[in-house]
Amino acid sequence: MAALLEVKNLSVTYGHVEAVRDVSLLVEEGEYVSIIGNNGAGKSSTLKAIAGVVKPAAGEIVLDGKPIAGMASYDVVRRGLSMVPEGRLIFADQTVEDNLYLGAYSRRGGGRSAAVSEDLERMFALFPILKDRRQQLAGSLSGGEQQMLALSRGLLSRPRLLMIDEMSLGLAPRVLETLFPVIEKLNRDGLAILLVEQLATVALRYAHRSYVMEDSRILLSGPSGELASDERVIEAYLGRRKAS
Amino acid sequence: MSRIARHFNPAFVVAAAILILALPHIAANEYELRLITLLLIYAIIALGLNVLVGLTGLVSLGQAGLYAIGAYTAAILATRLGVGLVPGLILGMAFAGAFGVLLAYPTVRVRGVYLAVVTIAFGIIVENVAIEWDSLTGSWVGISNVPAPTLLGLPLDTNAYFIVVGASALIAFLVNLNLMNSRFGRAMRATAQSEIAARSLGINVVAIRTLAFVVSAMAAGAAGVFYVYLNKYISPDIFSFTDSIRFLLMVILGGSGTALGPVVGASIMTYLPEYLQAFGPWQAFAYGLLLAAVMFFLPRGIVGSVEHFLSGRMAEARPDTVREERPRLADIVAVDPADGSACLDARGVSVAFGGLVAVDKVDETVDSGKIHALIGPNGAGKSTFLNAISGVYRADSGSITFLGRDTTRLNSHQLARLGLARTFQNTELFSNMTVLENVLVAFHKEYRSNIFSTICRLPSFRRDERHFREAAIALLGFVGLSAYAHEKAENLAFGHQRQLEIARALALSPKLLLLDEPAAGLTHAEIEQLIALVRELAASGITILIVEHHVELIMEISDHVTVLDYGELIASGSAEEVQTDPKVIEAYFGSQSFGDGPEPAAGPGAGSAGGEA
Amino acid sequence: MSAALQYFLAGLGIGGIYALVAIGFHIMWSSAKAVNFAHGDTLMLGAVLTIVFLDHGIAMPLAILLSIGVAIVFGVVLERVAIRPFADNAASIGWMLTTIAIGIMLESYATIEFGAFARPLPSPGVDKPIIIFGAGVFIQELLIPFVAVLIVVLLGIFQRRTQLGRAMRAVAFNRVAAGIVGINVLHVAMFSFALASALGGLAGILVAPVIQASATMGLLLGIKGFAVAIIGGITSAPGVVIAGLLYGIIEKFVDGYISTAAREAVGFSLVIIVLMLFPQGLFGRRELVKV
Repeated sequence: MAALLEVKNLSVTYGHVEAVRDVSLLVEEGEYVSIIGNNGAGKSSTLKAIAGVVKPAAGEIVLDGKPIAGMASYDVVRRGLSMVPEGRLIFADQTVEDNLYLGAYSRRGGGRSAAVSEDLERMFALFPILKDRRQQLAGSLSGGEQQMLALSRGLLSRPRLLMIDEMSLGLAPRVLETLFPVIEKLNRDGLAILLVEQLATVALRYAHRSYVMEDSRILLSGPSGELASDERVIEAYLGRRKAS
Repeated sequence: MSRIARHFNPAFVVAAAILILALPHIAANEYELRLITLLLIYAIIALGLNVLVGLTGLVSLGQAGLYAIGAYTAAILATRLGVGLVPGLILGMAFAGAFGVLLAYPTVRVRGVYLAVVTIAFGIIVENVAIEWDSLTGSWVGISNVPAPTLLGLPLDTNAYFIVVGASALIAFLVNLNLMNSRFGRAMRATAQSEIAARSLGINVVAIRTLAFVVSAMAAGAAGVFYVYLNKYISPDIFSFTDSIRFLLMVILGGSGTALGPVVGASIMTYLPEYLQAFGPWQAFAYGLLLAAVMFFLPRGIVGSVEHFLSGRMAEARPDTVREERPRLADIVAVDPADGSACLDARGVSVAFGGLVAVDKVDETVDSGKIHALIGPNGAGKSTFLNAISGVYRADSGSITFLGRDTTRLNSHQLARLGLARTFQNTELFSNMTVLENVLVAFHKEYRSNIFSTICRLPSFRRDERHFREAAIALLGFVGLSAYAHEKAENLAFGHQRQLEIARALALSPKLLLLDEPAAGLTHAEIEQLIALVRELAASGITILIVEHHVELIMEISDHVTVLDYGELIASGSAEEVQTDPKVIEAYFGSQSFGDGPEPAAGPGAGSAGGEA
Repeated sequence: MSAALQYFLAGLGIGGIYALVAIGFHIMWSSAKAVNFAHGDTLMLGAVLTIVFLDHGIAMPLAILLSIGVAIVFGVVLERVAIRPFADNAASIGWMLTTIAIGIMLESYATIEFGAFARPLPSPGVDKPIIIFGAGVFIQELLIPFVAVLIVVLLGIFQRRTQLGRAMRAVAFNRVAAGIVGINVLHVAMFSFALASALGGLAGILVAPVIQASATMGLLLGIKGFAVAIIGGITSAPGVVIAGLLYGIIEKFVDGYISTAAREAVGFSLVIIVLMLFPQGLFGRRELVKV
């Protein structure tokens, strides 16, 4: 396997706040990687910098051997890196179908080709509920349905790496039970995944490897199974210095 | 910025007065003296507009309307009723000021381009009323034959009139200067930079904006009156939209928010047409080009750019080395010892945005003198709840009782005055103001001296200012920032910014201090300091409600922890209790029974680190 | 009765112009959260250039196309030099004053080249008035509101049916989300200003036969168009068109029954009153501020 995404010594600052300090991470072709950590640890900012939503203050981001640090988000997506943002950010005032077509915006021809329509059907197979709702306004969907739409929209650019920011945010466990297996299936089919997730158990269950962030840095990294049994992960979350 | 101005205050006044007295003798001819008089009239408008634009951050594109109101008032009174300069001036200013109140009212609800439209509309209305109300204003023909100005019954010749206008301009300058360097000016600048923070410090931003509008309107009205007696003739075309833009350009060109800028801008804009005449038909074009050039190359304006350059150099040369004994909080602000009663009591509080319920019937009691924490995963509704109890949002249902009184419907500035102080998730400092000024803003409502004694620099003002300046410096000493008192807040390191926000909140003598993620972005060492500070505050009787993600900190300092998830309260109790609560563990880690993978779920709640351990 | 009908029809005519100008403001605001305060001068550019081209013997259709082309270039350049550099500035004063400055320059240049006088643009629509129930009205005046409504319908179709149109709505809704799906927000802003300016140029050409073209015709039309956009709710295209037509009708009635000066005083007073009652405009969407 070869490195698909390599982040070296990334820093992100907002004004005086260093949200990300000297973060390095790696995602290989077809790998499923997660970044876990508490709220405010810098996970989302790391993802946003990779996706080109915020400009990094320092560091390198290399996708497929080519540097992409500082590139605008709309150019990053053309290189095969797609992001499902925190809070989903679907276009609430447009229909489900139009949201999906916009997901294919970066593709040749601007997104209304036979290939795109085929992919649309593929999404409907993945999330049948979206097919029923295709003419509805996206804003009228439930939270879980909106997340499905955001995932599908992200997939329509045909990325090689899908980055998902806080998928569980505001969603009931029941909904997550249907979403995570879908991500796992996508990964088995060859799509690399970089998941940022607050719910550690879930992320550690599915991801091959994980990074634990705390206070804007990477605290730990390794195979998810090993991290799941690491005392420090629990400390970082619940602040229990000693296992009670 | 105002530092430079404050230094040359008395000497400058004397020099300016001498210059005004001498100018009629220096001026080459009547025409030049007339031009200088006009310059001073424009300076009066620009100085007033500076209070609005430069200090309060509100853009008026209708200042010519207020100028017209002053001018027509004086002209009509003089020609119809034979009213002289002084009563004309008083009535013109009063009338324009009344319209200033009217114009300020929309700022309660609209700002930015919306306010721009309101002011443009106002200017055009005045212009057209002047055209339409023929019987009073003479329509297009206007009002001519304005009698020569008189002062105390004595007629004023050109030279004497110049001195009257000059003295008035000097007064306008001092009003602008004294207002700027006072609690009112600080409140205006604070309102402009962060309305929400200003409110949280007990400042009634509507009142402050109204004050700014009234000051600028009265200045424009006065200028209108002076113009009538200079020109002896007025007509509607002197008060068009273009003139409003010209007045705004004077402020921006000179340097908005500075003391001298408006005068410099007015001077340039008075003399410029003289030089632009050389461009013949290209005059207006050159004017537009100048406006564009200023915006591109001198967005701070002339005086603003100079001050910026100087302050950059001065900042390096000023090592503040005041290292005194760290003061006690109780010596600076009023703190009541805790009596164990309920400080804040929220019952069934709900807040919804659109259809989304962010906070759902939350009950929460915070006992006085205790450290109470509010935690929960991202999007759980913690900040929304904080905003609801501090008056930023209004609860859709439920009731909130603070110190025994029902505060459900109070605004944040009213709550602040009752002793509810807060900090913000993303720090809402007044970044262009100094560290000391940031704290002084919070003392605004404590001042006893009124606006009159402030402008006239009466002893009561000086006493207040000295007292609160000392208190503010002491507060900075308390949080360890006294070395940075004169630094701009935006230049502080982030950890210091968080401390400053706490110092500012303490200036309110709070009973309850709400801390919204105070540890976010801090280093470990800074978090240790924060923990010590929070404990100290609680020990001195201030009740603390803290929203935080940093679990270690929460567990270490909290007497009581409340956990929210999906807007609902899922657990409440001591730190140990919530830590082992299965519902809390699920909210943070995800469901233990979640998924259908072959391996057993990692079960931190069971005490072991993971299923495979 | 016939007078009232007369005012109503004439009001629709001028209201259609306000509506067209306001649609332009709506389009610019949606993509850039800023507008061109010299948009009124885009109208002037369209009207004056068409007359200049006609003077040079260019055929009417070509003259119209050329003028609209120049208007488009003007809008695009202005967005690039006067608005984009000030986009980060939270206070709107930066782009407000730069675009006003460019408007002043354009207007004074037009005065130098075109002269300070007003000239009508010849149009078959103003040859002779048609009489409806005793009210005389030019075809041109009836055409304008029709065009305004047509444009807003076409805009709606464009924004629903085409990928670029959807992208415009996406940018208006959320710039970050638009960026991550691959929409170049800068290109969309540029396109929006081009479209708004084309409509502005068209509005100028449509109104010139009725009110005559002059170098200074743009200022008041621009201000009123902007006021109308704000009171209609600048986030809603149909909203600004309805507000534009209503404003035109009210204006004509006040003009007819009282006077021209009263027209402006009453009209702009209504603007303030509406804003006081509906801070987001009549049909606008509320933009929530988060702390």
